[in-house]
Amino acid sequence: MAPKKMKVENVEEENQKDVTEDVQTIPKPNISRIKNKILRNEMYKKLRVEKRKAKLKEKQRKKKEAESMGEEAPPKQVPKTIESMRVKDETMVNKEDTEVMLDEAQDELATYFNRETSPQILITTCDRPCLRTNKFCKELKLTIPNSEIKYRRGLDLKKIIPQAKERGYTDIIIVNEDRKEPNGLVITHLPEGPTLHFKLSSVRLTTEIKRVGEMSKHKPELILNNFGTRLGHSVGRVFASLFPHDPQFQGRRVVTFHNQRDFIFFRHHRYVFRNNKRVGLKDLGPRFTLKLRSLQKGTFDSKYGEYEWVHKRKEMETSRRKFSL
Amino acid sequence: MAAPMLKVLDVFVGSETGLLKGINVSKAEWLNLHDTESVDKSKEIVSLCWKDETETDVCIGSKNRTVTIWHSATRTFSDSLILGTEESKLRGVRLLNGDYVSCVDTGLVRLWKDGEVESEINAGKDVFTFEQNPTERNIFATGGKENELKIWDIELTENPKFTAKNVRNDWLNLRVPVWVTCARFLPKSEKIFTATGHHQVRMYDLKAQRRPVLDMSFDEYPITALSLCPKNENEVVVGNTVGKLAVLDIRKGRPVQVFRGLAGAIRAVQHHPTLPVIVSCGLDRYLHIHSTDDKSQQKIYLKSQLSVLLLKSSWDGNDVDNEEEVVVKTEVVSDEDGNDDEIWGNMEVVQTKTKREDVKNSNNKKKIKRKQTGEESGEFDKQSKSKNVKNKKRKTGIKA
Repeated sequence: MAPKKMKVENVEEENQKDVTEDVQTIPKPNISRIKNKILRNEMYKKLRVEKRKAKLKEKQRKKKEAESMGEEAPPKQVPKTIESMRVKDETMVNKEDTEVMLDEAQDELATYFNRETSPQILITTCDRPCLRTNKFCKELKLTIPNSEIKYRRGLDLKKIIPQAKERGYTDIIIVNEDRKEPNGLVITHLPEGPTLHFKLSSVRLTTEIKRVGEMSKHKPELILNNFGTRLGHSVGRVFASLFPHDPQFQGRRVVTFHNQRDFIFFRHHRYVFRNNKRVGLKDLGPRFTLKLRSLQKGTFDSKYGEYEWVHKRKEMETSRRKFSL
Repeated sequence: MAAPMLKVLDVFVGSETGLLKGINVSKAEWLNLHDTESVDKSKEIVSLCWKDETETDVCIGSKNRTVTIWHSATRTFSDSLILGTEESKLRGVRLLNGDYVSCVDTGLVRLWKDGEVESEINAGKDVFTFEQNPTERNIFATGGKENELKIWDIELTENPKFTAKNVRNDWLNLRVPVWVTCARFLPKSEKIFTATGHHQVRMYDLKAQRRPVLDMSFDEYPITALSLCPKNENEVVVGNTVGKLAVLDIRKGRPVQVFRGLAGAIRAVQHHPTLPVIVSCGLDRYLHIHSTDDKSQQKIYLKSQLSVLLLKSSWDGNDVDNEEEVVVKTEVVSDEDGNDDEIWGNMEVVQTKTKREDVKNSNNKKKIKRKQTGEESGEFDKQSKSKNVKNKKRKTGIKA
C-alpha cells in the first residue's frame, strides 16, 4: 500500500501550497491520516476521480491549444521508454554492408533461403513428458507445418541427430519441462547447426485462451520483429527456416516472433477483414515467450560445442537499456 | 565503417569469412585488407605468421590449403599457392628459411621447396595443433584428437624427436582421453605447454619425462586458445568455448586472473610480448583487448567470426606521437595568459585510455614522492605545472 500513500501525500503537499497562496480556503484533510478504513477508502476513491477528471481536462486543453495554434503547435512528446533509450549497439546490421550480407548468405541456413531445402521438422521432448508438455507439443505441431512429434524413448540427442539427418529432417525442436511445466526449448538446425537454447515461459495453450479461433492447415505467414543486431539476425533466420516458403495468403494465418527487450513473444493469429477499412485479429494460440540462453555453432553438443553467444547474466545485464537481440 | 586509411596496424586478425583485418589499437579503428566482396567461407583463414623477423609481411594460410602473403609496404597480396591436392583442411603454415611448412588435419606435415614436397611427415590422424618453436625454427609440435603431442625435427623426418605419453589412468582406473588442442613452446628452453579439449593445461619438459610435468584443469569446457605470459613462465593465458579467458598459474594449479566481457568461444589469444595486454578474438566477432594490470578493456567489432590473431611486437608507433602532442599542448597553455577560452575550445580530447592512466599513475607516484622527499622528477614536474596552470585558469574563469 506504500505507493498509494505516497501519492496521497504528494497531493496533500500541493494542496498545502494552494493554501499558502490564498489563505481563505480550508485545507483538505490528509486522507492517509483518516483512521476509519471505510471512510478513507471512500475519500480515496473520490480523490482518484478528481485526479482523473483534472487529467482529462488538461489533455483536452492541450489538444485545443494545439488545434488553435495549427502548424506552430509544439511537437507531440514521445515517451522515453527503455527501448527508445536503448544503448547504441554497433553490431546492428546494415543492409548495405557487403561483408555481413555475404557472410549471412553463406551460413548454415543458406540452403533454406536459396530454396534448396524445404523445412521438415521433428518435435520431441525430454524423457517422460507430462501432460502439459505433450499438449504443448501437439499445438506446436499444428502451428508449424511439416512437423512431426516423436516420443523421445530415452534416446540421446546425439544419437537422434544422425538418424534425423538420414531421414531428411531439417530441424529438431526439443521441449524441456520442469515440475510438469514446459520451461525450455532447444532448436537444432540440421545438418550443420546452429543450435539455439531458449528459456520458455508464460505458456498459454489454446484451451487456456478466451475466444480462441480454430486453426486451419494453410501455410502461415511469418512476422519477425526487431531482430536487428547480428545475433538477432542469426536467431531470426533460424525461426524463419522453421516455416515453409510461400505462405498461403488465403488462409490469413500469421505467426509472429516479436522481440522486445530480448524476450521473444510467439503469437499466432488469423486476420479478419471486418469491412473495407478495418481489420481484426483472432488469436489462434498457443502463446509463449522465449528468451535466448545460448547460440551454439554446430548441432547440439553442449559439452564440446563452440558457443557463438552465451548469455552471462552478471556480465551482460549491466544496463537495463542494453539488449543483445 | 572503418577508416579507409590506417598507417600503422598493430594487430592482424583472420576471419572465418576469409578476410584479413588490420587493427590500429590506439585509434580503435580497423580495416579489411581483402576486398569485402571476396567473402568466401571455404577460404577461412586458419593460420597467420610473419614472413620474417622484420614483421612486415604476413603469411596467410586458408582452410582450403592456399597460402598468400600480404606485403605491408605495397598493401597487396601475392599470388596464392596451393599446398597439396588431396581433400583435407589446413591446420597451420609456418615458414622455415623462406620455405613453407604446412600441416593438414589428416596429419601430413610437409616441407615445400619451390612448390615441390621436399620432405613429409605423417603425424597421425585428427591433428588439431601445429606449432613452430620460436627459437629453433626447424622444430615443430603436432597434436590432436587421440593423437598425443609429438615434436618433430623437420630435417630429420623418420621419427619424432619426442612423443608424449598419456597421463596415468584416473581414480576409476579408466584411460584418460587425449585431445590436444593447442601447444606453445617456451622460448629458450625444453618446455612446452599444451591445452586439451578435456579442459586440461599441461606442461611437458622434454628433458625430464614423457608424461607432463605439470597438469591442471580449468573450468569444464574445451580449451581452444593458449598463450604464454612473457613475464612469468609458470603462467599461461587460456580461453575456452564459452568465452572464459583466464591467466592460469600452472604451478599453483589455479587461475590468477579471470577476464570478463567475452560472449562466445575464444579462438585465439595472444599476450603482448612487452606490454601488459592480452588480445583475444573468437566467435563473438569482437577483438578484445584486456589489460592485465587493471580492469580496463577495449573491444572492437569486426563483423565476422574471427579465427586467428597476429600481434606486432611493438605497438609504440602511434603512442609516441600522441604523447608528444600532449606535452606540446600543455606547454602552450602555460605560456599564454590571454585568451583561455579559445585555447580550451581548441584543445583536443586525448582519448587513449592508457595515456590517461599513465598520467594518473605518474600523478599518484608524484604524490607519494612528494610526501617522501619533496622532490619531483622532470617529467612529473612539467605535467603537474601544466595541471596547476589549468586549475588556476579554471578558477580565474569562474571569477571573471
